[in-house]
Amino acid sequence: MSKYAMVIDMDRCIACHACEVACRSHYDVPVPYYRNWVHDLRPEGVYPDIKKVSYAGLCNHCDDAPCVKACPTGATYKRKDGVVVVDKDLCIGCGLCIEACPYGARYIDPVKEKVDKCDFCIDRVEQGVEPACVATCIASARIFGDIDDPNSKVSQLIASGAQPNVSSKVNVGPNIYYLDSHNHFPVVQAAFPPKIPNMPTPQKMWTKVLRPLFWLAIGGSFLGQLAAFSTQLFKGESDIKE
Amino acid sequence: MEKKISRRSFLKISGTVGTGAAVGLSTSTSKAKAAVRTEPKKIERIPSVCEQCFWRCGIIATVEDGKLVNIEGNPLHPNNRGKICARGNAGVALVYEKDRLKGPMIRVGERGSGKWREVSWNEALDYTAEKLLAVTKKYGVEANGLFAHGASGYFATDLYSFWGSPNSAAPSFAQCKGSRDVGYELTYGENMGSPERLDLANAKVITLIGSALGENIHTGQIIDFTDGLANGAKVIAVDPRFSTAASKAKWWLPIKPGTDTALVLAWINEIINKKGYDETFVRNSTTGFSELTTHVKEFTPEWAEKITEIPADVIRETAKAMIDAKPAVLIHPGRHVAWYGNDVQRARAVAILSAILGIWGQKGGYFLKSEFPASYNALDIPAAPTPKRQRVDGAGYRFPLASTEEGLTQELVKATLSQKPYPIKSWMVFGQNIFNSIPAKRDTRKAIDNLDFYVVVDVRPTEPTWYADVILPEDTYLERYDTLMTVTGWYKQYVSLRQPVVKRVHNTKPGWWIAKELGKRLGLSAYYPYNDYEDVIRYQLKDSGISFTKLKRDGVITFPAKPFLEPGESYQFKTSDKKVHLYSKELKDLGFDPIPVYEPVNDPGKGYFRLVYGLMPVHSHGKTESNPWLNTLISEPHLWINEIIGKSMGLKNDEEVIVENQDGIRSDKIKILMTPGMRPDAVYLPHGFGGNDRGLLDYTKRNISDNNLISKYTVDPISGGTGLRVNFVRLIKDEQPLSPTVEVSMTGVSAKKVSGVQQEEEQNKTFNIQPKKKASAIKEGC
Repeated sequence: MSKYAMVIDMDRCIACHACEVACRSHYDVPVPYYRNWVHDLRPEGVYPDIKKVSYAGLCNHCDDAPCVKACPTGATYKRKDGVVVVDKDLCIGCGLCIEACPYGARYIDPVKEKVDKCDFCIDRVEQGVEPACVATCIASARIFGDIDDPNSKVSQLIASGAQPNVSSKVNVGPNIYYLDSHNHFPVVQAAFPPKIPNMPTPQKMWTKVLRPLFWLAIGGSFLGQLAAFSTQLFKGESDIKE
Repeated sequence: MEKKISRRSFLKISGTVGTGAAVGLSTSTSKAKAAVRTEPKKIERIPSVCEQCFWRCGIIATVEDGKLVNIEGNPLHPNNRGKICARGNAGVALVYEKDRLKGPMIRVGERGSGKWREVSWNEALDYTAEKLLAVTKKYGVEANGLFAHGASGYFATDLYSFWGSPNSAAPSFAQCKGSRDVGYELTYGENMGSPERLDLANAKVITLIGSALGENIHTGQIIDFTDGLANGAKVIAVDPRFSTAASKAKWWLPIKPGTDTALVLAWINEIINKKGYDETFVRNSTTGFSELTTHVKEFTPEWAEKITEIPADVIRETAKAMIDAKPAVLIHPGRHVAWYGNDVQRARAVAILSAILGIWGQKGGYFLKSEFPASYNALDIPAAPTPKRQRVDGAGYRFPLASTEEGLTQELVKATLSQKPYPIKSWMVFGQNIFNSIPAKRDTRKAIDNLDFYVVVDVRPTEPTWYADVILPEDTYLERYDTLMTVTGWYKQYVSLRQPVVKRVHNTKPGWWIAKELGKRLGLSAYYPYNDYEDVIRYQLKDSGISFTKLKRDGVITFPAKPFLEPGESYQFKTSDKKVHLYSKELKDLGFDPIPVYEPVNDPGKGYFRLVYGLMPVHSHGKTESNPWLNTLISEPHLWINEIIGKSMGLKNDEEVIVENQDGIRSDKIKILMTPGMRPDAVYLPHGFGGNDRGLLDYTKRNISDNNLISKYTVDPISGGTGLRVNFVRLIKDEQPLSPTVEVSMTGVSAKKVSGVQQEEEQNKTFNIQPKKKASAIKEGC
């Protein structure tokens, strides 16, 4: 079985943002949201030891994904190949997964009213095509592959020292690794540490999921009744079967 | 916060909850999967060529049911190799940008009132031709000036040359790489072209003198640069600002702006002193080495330290790195080199440094142009007439080595202002933001008042469009054909085809059609024996052995190249004596220094900073700020200022200030970025933003353009190229000019570990950046 992961080579990344725009284009991600990102930090340090660091990030497809646990409908789930995906049909747009995500990798599409996030371009990958961000990366800084295969480039880069963005407080088994020999990754970790997952409480479950669902159920029943009534009205009673 | 559920999701969930039936429609966002519908979408993949910048990468457009949905790199294209930058990806959003020019218009209000009426193409073209002919009748055809840029700009340049006006100019020369090209031509007999022939991938040392690779994105060049980094190349980044390239560098040399020539001369001195030059190449392929040796004798690293503020030992150390790595030393010739108005001589110095290291035709150095194996049929049209009057911009006479193909934009503006040496009474501006590319924009604006007629051809309503008498809206590069793009100076030679990938969205026309239709109305039908540009390309290729069908299908056709010399092979340089001119007799005969000398620069004066500028990776010139996909990434520039200096003026990051230059010209409020990665005597403002583009809705609406503050410029007497880094600015807050209360000197350089180098210790060179004294009183003045 494959387990997909990505390595971001910070030594190569020049923060051109091509990955971000390619992703937007492939998935019609509405401005200002994003499924992957490059956050540019201003050059900092004490002269002459200055660092200009950018943080290229995306969903970490965590092994112990808080978003999966937080999702009340089972819309967010982890596939056997490690990819965390959102089943849009099941998503009710409650946003609990967004609060649970330590990496800020999710958003609610304001038009579709569904949660969206990186799915490692799994449709492309299944057709043997690299993810869009990897394909367009002009610095070849994004390397995608199967970490169950010890000979894959990602496995080799992880063996050579690529690190995930985890902290002593938060480690949910992320599968995005950062390769860095300029001491830039600690700057990213300091500026963008993984957030402690904000998991759903009973109170939140009630306000964000159960209460709306309750009304929906009532509304749905009402609509069902209405539909049945209209059908009766137009088609006559005999067409309705128990 | 309570989540409100919309009617649509209500109905959908109602479907599952209320009736228990699973009626979920597939809402997969993936385009590959989106094809799963009752009616399959018609999906086309069409190759073409990008023009979000001028590198011209190969792209493949995905078009679904006639709508452009995606652009990716063309893997067959040898330059960008399947990859494409942020701007290239965002071409999709350009086509559907809401502020585009959507149909031809004729002005009805006062010039600059922003009032036009929509007209038919026939009416617009008839009117334009009538006005141009009226100018011609009264003042002669030479009274018609043209500013053109971009791939379709060639059609306009051709039109004016068919017509007999010599007065066309493009910013690509005087505001960009003109002085570099002249400097290299004087030295090598040929220039580095575009794309530049730089073997960055195989270089062991990459020397960047003000070239901000990484912020200045040309895809093929960045592919090679990052491959070079991964292969262990050591970068020497000479830049007053800690650029992205500096962040990848082993050496960052925060040079005092304007002193680069001194540094290069000291490097040459050190390389000659240490006998570190390529002796065989110098002996066999150059002339003037002994004159050079004598000339640079006094330009020691110690001499240069006083001027550049780069320590002498760092100059020696970096010179040694280049000596040790030669010939795999890539000394970038630069691209935008219009800095100080003595830029030919700086380019010459860089070319000489490259020459003595023997990098010509070598792996890791400059590679060679190849012989293109095919030739195209030429259209059977009359020769263009020889203009009856000399061009007004002085290219070829006042500026002896200026390009007469590209011309000098700022001189055309000046001639229009003064109406000398003869009247210029009409302008056509074709695909060029003359307010954001040519310095002293107030002159440009005033010159428009001297015109009887002013027509703009463009895709988006930029500032120059606002004053137009007629607006002729052009197709985007994704909706039109352009000329064949043939490149012989690359690892593989190639010809690529720009073709329409999507049906035009608005009532716009391609540049070739606009030029042809105007040409017919100006009595130049003989030059336009075609109705469709596709037919022209077919005819050009007919006997070339290149299949138009294949080119259309693949977007690019490649041919082998010979980028490198064989061991021992000598190269016939294209100079008079086939040798590299370290000493230029040509310059001497014209009355200029035959070997470059350093010309001192002025200090900004207390409270003032030198204004430097550069590019951002997600924007191109003034072309992309309103592209929503790019604007969301960077919607406004930040003014970089040294952190200690900024703090001493009481500033905080992201605080807004007004920037005022030496002529009292002010910006609107600009946010500041304080960083230790900026020299204390300069500020940096990224280029390409907010002039006064009133027709554009999605932009900052603030006058924060660097070009607004570049009211002063110098002109290179050799090339006519402009020097744009000669303006000094101060910061204004609450109507009070700010002045630093500390002095900061930056005589140091960081030597950092390069990727892959394990044992190298971090060597912190001497540096000195602590507050020295507190100024008791803040004084204004320049």
